[in-house]
Amino acid sequence: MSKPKGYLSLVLHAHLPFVRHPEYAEFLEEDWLFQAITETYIPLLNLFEKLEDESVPYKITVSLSPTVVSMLNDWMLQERCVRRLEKLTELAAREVERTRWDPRFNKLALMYHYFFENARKTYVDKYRRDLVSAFRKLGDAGNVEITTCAATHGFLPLMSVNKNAVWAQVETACRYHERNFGRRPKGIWLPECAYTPGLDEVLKRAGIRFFFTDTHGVLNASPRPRYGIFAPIYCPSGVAAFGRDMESSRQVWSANEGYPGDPWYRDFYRDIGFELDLDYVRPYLHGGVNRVHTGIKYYRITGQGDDKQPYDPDVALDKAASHAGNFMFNRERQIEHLSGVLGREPIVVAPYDAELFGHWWFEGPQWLEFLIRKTAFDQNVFRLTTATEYLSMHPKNQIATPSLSSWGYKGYNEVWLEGSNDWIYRHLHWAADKMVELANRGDRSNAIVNRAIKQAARELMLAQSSDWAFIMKTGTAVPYAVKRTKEHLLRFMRLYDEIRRGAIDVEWLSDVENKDNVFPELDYSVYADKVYAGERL
Amino acid sequence: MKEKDLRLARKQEPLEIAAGLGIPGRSKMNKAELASAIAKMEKPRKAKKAGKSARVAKMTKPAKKKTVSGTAGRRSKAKAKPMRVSAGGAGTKRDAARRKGPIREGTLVRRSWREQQAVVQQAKYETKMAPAGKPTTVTTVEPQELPTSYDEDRIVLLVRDPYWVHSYWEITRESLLKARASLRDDWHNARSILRVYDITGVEFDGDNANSFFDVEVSGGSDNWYINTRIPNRTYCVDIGLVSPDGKFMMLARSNKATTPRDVPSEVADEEWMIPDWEFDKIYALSGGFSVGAGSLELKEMMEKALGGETSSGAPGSFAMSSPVGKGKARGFWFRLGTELIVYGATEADAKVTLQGRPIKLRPDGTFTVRFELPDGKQVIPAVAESADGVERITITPTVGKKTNK
Repeated sequence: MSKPKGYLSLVLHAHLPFVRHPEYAEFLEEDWLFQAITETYIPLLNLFEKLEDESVPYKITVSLSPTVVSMLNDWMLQERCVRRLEKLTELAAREVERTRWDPRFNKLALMYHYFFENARKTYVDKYRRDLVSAFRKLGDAGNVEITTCAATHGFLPLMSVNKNAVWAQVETACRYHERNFGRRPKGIWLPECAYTPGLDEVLKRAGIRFFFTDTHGVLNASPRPRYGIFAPIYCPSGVAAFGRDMESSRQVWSANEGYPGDPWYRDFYRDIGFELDLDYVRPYLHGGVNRVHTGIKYYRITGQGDDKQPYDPDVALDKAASHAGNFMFNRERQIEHLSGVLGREPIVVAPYDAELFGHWWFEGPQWLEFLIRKTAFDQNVFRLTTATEYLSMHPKNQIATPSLSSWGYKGYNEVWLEGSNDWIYRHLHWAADKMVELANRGDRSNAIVNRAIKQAARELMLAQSSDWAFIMKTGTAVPYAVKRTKEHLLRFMRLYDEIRRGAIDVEWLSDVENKDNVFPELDYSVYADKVYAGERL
Repeated sequence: MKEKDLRLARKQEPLEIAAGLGIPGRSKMNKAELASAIAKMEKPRKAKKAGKSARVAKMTKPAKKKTVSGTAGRRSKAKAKPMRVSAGGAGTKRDAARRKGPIREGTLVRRSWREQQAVVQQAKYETKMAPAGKPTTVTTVEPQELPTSYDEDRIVLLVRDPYWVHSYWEITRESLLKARASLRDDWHNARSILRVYDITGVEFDGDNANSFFDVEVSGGSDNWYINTRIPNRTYCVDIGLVSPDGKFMMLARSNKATTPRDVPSEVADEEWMIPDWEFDKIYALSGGFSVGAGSLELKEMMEKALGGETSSGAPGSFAMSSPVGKGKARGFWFRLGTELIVYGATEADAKVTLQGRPIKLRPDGTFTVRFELPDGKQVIPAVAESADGVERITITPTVGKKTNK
């Protein structure tokens, strides 16, 4: 291949909040993880391995949030995921029978049966329930760059009144990443792409080399970035910031022009869990009462209105191929043009929620596969790359401080700081201060006290997940988000109180440790002032 | 304010609170009667907001919910009383501001791609919904409530966007009593304010701010959105009392916070000097003139806001349509499905086929099969055969369906 004119960096950010409820036999919100595993993580792993097997040249960045990794590692959730997959396979088999007289649906029922059966086999037989190792192997092979995220996806700019809390989120994530992937992460996905000046100092101390911001984070950097968002900038700390490309974002996200909204693609909402006779689907619902997504969806988007046509996977596949071709064509023109204007090889950064692919946009993994293959074989204007690779090719970059920004609606902090959710910060900030106080105690001789302090750190981190504020603002599961925020804060407060009074209720502590067991090896001293100041305790 | 505190207070204070709450016959009540009347009125409100009296690990039973929307509006308009600064949690300002917010909900007809992104991100947390797209409530235990105060004098400043910052605060009773002692007669005419200092580029010592402005906060509020108008400035906020003669008494000082730019930097690095025109070209290619989709909305919002008040609770112009995506004004809809259930019984060890395909019998020899029934005629031969293959019975129902729309 001749020297490319520029580079495209695809970044998939996989994240879900920590949801694990051993106190219930089954729990609705645990489905978030099972759906992501079935519809996104497994299809992506299948795709990447296929590319490896066929030696297709490709590069991609996958950010795995520590809470996702933690849940993927949890045996109880693994067990429940297998059970869910078995149930869905069974339901799909019944659907094959039920739709026998209607070939339009029968074909789809067969497709879903194969899909779930294959997911179950991949999960159980191939990976032995260990998706983290599967990602690790891909990371080791060198084409997939795995980056981390803040420990529990805390919204860092609104946490930064307490620097230790920010440091704890970042450093805990890096250590957990190292434990799972064998090395410290070079890059980080800042939760919600939310950056505030100074954050890079914390990242640098954790050994992070780069992060991503939304377009205006780099574009409004100071001094002005000479190459706009088409080259990274170095923060004064030396950590590189890559800005998101607007055009490729719009092509995928726009409600009107965006690919996933194509009338031929599968409709996300029309799920048989809501549509079929309750008695029939009851065994596959939670507690037999709440109608839920089963993943079996028979209709295509069709158009505005409620009158939907049956889904046709063959036409949808063609669409995915032509959309991938269109995306590639646009990148070729964009990069050709840019390389002329800039006089340097531009990098176009296209970050997406990983769960967009497969879960929301059913054909997303196919689109991605077409894009990667076409990019490798059908053109020679640009090549896929990762941030690390690009930085090694272009180590010299402009120094500028990115602007405060996020990838949320309106581009700043408003989604996470507005009427529905602003009440959480006084509690989160108070708890962060008290956590530092606990970590500063320095006396580590009492095992029970240590356990309690460690658990306090977990509770604080779990309360800090940006998901809760996001759900409160936009939400479908508001009561759950409120409950989780309060529950973790109340557990933190009780722990704090018991530690101070020297009266730790060990039975209760064990119970909470069992429930909120995120990051088994968490080291609470990351909250201590001395550690933040660079000293070891 | 606890009932006990109210009893200790001078009658004038409880009387004003009672007026704010619209308690009938208040002027004829004595102090104790007022206190208990207020306590009665306040309990449900507090429970609704955040459970005023909940201490750390104590269980508080959620009080019965009672609609207070009527009093909320009047309350927020009530004249600011310094004492109410401590009554965190009662903050009705937010609700009031939401109603009066500068941006009407639902003004956006089409979703921007950023909104679309949020819709998809929201779908990540989607597991269920009522068929009509109305989210059902999660069946969970009512959580205990968080405390509304931490016995600390504290004010925190957070950046929301280039034009707005948010502040929350808490002032302890002790600090208020001290302030009251020092203000003496001015106490009752003092107003609660936020003093917002522009400290861009200075090491703030309390006196060297570039400029400052005051925002009067209504009694009872414990947080406020402040329109700071000019992006890319550093701010610090004091919460305090200002007496009629203008004397300011600070109760707490915030952290400093810097709002972001809403446009590219005016600083062009010397080493990397870029002519404006060239930068413009790159800026446009970077999508810069529509990044502003966000910034533009902000600008409009600011313009509207400048004509109105300087605070706003939730200017949420982001009207998310229902999860089912039925964004129509009238969401009436109807779906109909037809299924056919074929069931029967035979010897437990017999073999049964339907349309030639084997059917699994239950241990007692019964079976049930359901089919989605499309329009047209279905002939369904059902054959039962004894285990030894000697006997064989065939029953053939024919079913027709026709749909008129």
